[in-house]
Amino acid sequence: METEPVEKNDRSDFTQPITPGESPVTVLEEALASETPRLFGVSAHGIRGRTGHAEEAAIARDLNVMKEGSEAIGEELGMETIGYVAIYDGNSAIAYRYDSTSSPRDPHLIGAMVNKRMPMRKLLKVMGDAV
Amino acid sequence: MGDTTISNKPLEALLASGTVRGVCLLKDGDVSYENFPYSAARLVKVCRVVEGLTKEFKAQGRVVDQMAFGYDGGNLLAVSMENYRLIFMHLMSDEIDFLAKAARAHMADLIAADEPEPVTAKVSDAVSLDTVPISLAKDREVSREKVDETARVEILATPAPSAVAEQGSGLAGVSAEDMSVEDLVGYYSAQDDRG
Repeated sequence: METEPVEKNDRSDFTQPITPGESPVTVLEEALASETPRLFGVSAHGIRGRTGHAEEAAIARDLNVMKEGSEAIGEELGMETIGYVAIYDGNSAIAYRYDSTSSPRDPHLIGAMVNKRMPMRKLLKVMGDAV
Repeated sequence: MGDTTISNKPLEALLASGTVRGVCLLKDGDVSYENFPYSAARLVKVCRVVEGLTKEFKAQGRVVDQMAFGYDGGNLLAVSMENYRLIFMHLMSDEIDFLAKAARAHMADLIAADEPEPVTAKVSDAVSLDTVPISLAKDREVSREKVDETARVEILATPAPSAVAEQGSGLAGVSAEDMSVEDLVGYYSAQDDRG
């Protein structure tokens, strides 16, 4: 059984409040330096993260592409309830996962970006823990 | 379906493991092996969506070589390497990384098998010298005049010719530069006879 701790940086977790004196730039720099996932909360109301608007816009674009693709595949396979999508983009990993605790009428997603090819199983676990 | 030079037994072994429900191998976008619990038409559509996603990211200058999709009824994993792509349908999301590793190992074997064998010379391949045609390039041809000239330069490098006239060997009044090779050879022969 693997005992390696799950990498998580609370300061890049969107669920953590921004503390005084903290800025999106420092949070982003810290997450990049430690190669820990930057998490985002996604809903119909928008996307929120702690690493700035540019990152939020970038992950929103990627999530749209991944969501469309996963829906098209699910349709063909007769499996329309999507749990997660993860990709390796060069030396980065990007993923989103449905928040199973959210209302089906207003589903929430957790998005994640990390600047390394983190094992997908591990990345999904980090996102699951955030849910 | 078609076959590749490398056996697809590793893929069949994964299928036999129980949690992998489908495997599809594509080469240059064409299905070269498949064992999928869906019709060929559906599988082709799934492959097209995966290809479309890859192209969409590629248009942004990004290389997406692994995609994993999780659904209520199973998971789909697509791993690409050069002109190959392997798509798995599997039951447990925990298997993603293991399957991706297996996929890369298999595709690396396929890529290596596709590469042309390096040319190696064997003793048995050697051609006997008398059958080797020799043709000199024109600029490498050496004329008789050039050979003579070279010989003259070599001979002139020795101090002997300056003594020709002094010793009255029949070449008096002829400077070393004006001597032909024959003259010089004659001179040296005479010297040898005297010695």
